[in-house]
Order: sequence, then C-alpha cells, then structure tokens
Amino acid sequence: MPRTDSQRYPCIYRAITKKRWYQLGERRILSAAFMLKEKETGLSVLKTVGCSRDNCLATLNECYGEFVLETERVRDLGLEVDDDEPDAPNYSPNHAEITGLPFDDKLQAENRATELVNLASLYYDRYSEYA
Amino acid sequence: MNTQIHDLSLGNSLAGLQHGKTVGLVSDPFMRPTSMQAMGVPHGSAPGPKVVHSIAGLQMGDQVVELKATRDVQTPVIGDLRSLREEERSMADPITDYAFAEANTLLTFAHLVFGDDLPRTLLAPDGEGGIRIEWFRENRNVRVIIPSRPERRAYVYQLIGEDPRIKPFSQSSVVQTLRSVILRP
Repeated sequence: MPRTDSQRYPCIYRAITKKRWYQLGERRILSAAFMLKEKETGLSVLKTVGCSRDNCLATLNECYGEFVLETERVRDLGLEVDDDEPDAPNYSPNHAEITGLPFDDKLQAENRATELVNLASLYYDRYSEYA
Repeated sequence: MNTQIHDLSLGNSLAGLQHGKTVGLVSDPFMRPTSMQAMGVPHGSAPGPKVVHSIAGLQMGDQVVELKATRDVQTPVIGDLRSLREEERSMADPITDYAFAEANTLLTFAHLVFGDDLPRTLLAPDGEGGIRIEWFRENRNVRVIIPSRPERRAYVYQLIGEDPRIKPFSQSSVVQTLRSVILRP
C-alpha cells in the first residue's frame, strides 16, 4: 500500500465509532480506540475531515467525532500509515490505515494502543457529547 | 456458608429468618444478585419469592407470614455495565452473555473487596462483543480485557510509568493487581 504523504497530510483522524472511547469526566481517551479487531489489517483513519452533525465523511453508521494524531509521530512509534490501494474494490482517496500493529502479541498490542492514546487528542465532538 | 443470626449486624437483611435458626446462602431464581451481600432463607424452605426482614425486626419477634422477592441494590458500576450492554445491543457484535457475566462477577467482587476505594471504573466495548475495563491513577493503569468467548482468553494488563506487564485473568489476579498498582500509595 502506498505510504500516506505526511507533507500533504501532517495529521490523520481516527473516527470515534464508540462513544465510550472518550471519557468526558476523566478527559481521557481509552485504549479501546486503538486496538485492532480480529481480521483487521490496520486501524482506519481519515486524511482530511470536515464532518458535521448531519454528515459523516466516512459514511459511518455510528460516529461521535474524531481524534487527531500527527502522521510522522505515529511512524516514530515504528508503525506505518498507508493509503488505500488504488485498485482495491473499496478504495477511498481519503482513507488510510495505521499498520504494523501486533494482534497476537497482546502485551505489544496493548503497549502500542497506549502509545497511540498518548499521541491522540480529541479533535471533533460531533454531537457535543463531550462538552 | 452457614451464618448464625447473632453473628450478623442489625443492618443485615435476611429473608424469612426466625431467631435462632441458621441460614445458608441459596441460589434463588427470583433473586438477581448484584452484590455479594448474604441473603439467607431457612434451610428446607420451599423455593419461591422471598421478602426481606431486618435482623432487628426479626429479633423483636416479627412473624414471617409471607415471603416476596426483593432486588439487591445495584452498584453504580454494575448499572454502567448494564448500560454498556444496552448501548451495544443493536450493534453488529453486541456484548455477549459470556462477557457480560464475567464482567459482572468481577466488578461485583472488586466492589466487595475495595468498596469505594477504587477510582472510577471505565468500561468500553472491544467492538467484537467483549468488554474492556480500565482503572487509572496518576501514571498507573490497569486494564482487564474480557473477550466475547472463553476460548479467546481474558487477560490483565498493567502499566506503571513505562513498565508494562500482562498476566492471565482471574478475579484474584485482578484484585492483587489493583491493590499493588492502583491502590498503593
């Protein structure tokens, strides 16, 4: 998969598909937001955003906003940020993945999730759930 | 476990107990235990709805005429666990019965051991029918990962500063980890 151009996309955005990924009282992002599910090849992210209450650019059924991370800081963790393959059936020019995450090694998977949580911050609160 | 009435505080609630009788913990299909508070009935009593009398009332000679079902008081964290299950009910991978039962048992046990000493318990779905439970204090973090199915194996993750560890899940390992990571001074 082609590498996401960090000059053009210095930031990537992780859609908040579970409301509980951000805990308002604690002002805290939970590690669940950055754990791979079985059969996933990477964590889905967007390269640009502009969602509104009525429109989700990622066309997700459930989306409560976005976390933002710096593309090169994700790569500094030893991970990669890749665009979709242009000839993939579900290709999206705005979609990328954080790849290189372990799945079977639970300790490393949890460690990487911790590191990504530490890089991330709340960017957009779509329904003012977290205000 | 048999408990003598005189061993219990007056605040304890016991169903259908007469002074001087021993009681045992029973599994009652009408009761939905959300805490580990002992609920007793006389040995040999017929199964069915039970009503709760206070020890003080029974010691003053209340006569048990009728037994009706009562519900235990739900702790906030168990309430939050139930909310989580409801939130995920319409999702592609709702919280499984296995994950819910394991989390319910663990959180009930942790509440029994630690009461209000624990910081806030944070619950989140894992997106595959399982549950992730986290506690934080300063730069310390404990996570319990309960998967959707038993064959996937639950585990406990702890982080003290930059020192992470992982260990197999059991109620005792969670309690020990919380005590040594979150509750230590």
